[in-house]
Amino acid sequence: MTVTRSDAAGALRDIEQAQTRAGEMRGYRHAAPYLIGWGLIWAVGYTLMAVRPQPEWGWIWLPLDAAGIIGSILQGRSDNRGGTQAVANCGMRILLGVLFTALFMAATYVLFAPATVAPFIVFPGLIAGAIYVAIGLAWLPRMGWIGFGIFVLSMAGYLFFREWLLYWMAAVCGGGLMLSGLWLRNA
Amino acid sequence: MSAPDEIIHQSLRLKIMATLNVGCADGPMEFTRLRGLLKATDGNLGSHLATLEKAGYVTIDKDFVGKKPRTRVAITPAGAKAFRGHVAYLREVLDSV
Repeated sequence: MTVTRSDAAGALRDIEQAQTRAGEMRGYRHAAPYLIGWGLIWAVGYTLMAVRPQPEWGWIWLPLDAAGIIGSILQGRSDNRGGTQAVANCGMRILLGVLFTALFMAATYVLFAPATVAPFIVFPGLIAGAIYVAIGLAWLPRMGWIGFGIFVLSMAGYLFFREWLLYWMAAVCGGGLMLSGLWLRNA
Repeated sequence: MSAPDEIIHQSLRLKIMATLNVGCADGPMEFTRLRGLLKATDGNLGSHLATLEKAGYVTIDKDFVGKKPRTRVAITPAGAKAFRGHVAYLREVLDSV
């Protein structure tokens, strides 16, 4: 059997394409439960905000966020069973990522001091959308489309459906994340 | 120089092995998922998988989920080793003057 340089180059190109595609699909299946879980948390959190008085809002998110973080860490550990040491630290990286995102959002509120409550409601959607777009551009294209969708829908709620903003965020963004998770799970 | 692996070198079998080498990190891959990733037909994929199974490079398990039949494919350690060896050979060919 003779393999020319041209054959070898073509074969290596095929291998790279096949492995990239398989890696992407694997990434989608790993990302799916996070999106479904956080989508559910958003749907529940924003719905409770809509039906409860504003002073209680912080108490609504405290247990929900804690559940989301713990769930994400457990999912990360489950994903990395038998993995390398680098991926074994995934839980800690998720926790640090969530904490830094919360810090970034708090700093933004301090800097820009929104005069009404609506920007506080929409901002998590913009941040999540931006993070997913970044992941999409770097690794997983479908995540980019999901992030762009969440970003646009959050802004659309703010601009056109402000009276129903909490229900909008629960149904469209929370529900959208869950549907996106199902889409990725079947990738 | 390493030797080429004639079983793996065929175009679709090469893609099957490359896909399974990454995709089986979480366990066996369903036949339907593999078919979707490779955009191959049932018959073509099945025949090349049979060749790889005969060589001991993949395992094919058939079972039922409820009443629905399921076929799962996994790369074997021998298959992963042969694939790595063939990739090394291809790189050597490409780097040779």
